[in-house]
Amino acid sequence: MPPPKSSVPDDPATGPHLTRRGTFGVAGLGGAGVLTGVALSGLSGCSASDTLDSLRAPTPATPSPTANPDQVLIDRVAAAMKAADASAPRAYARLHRRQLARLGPSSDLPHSTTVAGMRGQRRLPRVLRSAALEASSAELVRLFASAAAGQRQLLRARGQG
Amino acid sequence: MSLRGLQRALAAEHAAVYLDAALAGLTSREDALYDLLATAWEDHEAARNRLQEAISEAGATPVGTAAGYRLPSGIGSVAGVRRAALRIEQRCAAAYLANVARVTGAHRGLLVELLGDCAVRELDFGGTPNAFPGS
Repeated sequence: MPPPKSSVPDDPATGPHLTRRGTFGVAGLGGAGVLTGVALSGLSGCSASDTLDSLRAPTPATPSPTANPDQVLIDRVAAAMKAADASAPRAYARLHRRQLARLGPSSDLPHSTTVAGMRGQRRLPRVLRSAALEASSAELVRLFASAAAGQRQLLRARGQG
Repeated sequence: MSLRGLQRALAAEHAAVYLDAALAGLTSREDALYDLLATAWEDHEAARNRLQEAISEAGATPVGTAAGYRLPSGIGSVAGVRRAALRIEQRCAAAYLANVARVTGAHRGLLVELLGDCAVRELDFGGTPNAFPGS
């Protein structure tokens, strides 16, 4: 068995090493033929060594009249995290910085209806679970599911779950 | 709808049930670790039952246990048993994560929930919070 690897260093730059297993993606949107892309790197199989890779949703060169549904989910989650972090212990903001670095939210986030502070933190696993159920890309499903688990883990570790 | 994701998660739970019981058998009842292992064993049994039920309700036959499971190495001490228990939770979490996108709807919701349960149990065995458990 491989050695335990549940520790997350404080420095995001030294976070868990990720393995690129393949990249695909791109969703064509809009009547103007704009190509907006969500680069997705997939986990395949069910090996314990499978890992998540970064997921980026580059800003379209031209604004699209139709929102990418997965990007909408990413932005909704990001807004909920930022709102919850407003008056919560810094450990949550650190966790969410790492998670958002993989999710790649837009720079212009929607207003969140999620409450701030610990109530918002406790609600985040449900927000992320719901996003995992709605996401269409498999990679995004895994990112949301894993982030929900990470949120539950931190809540429990701090005795706030 | 494919049930392969649920079946693979169930196979991981079968292994966890067996291995946690084996590790508990190697641990003194006076040691706090015994209670943690007993609780983890019960949790994995409950998860296994939920997965079996979901698969049966979908009209398929749940996969059975393997003929045997290889015990982890380095379990000659309390610390070694604790590390092995942590690896069991991490491997279970990895199995859930690898399969969560293979299923949809309530089945996906179940795998998300059980992934989170594994992540939380990792803390009982010395794990630390991770941005992306299971990866």
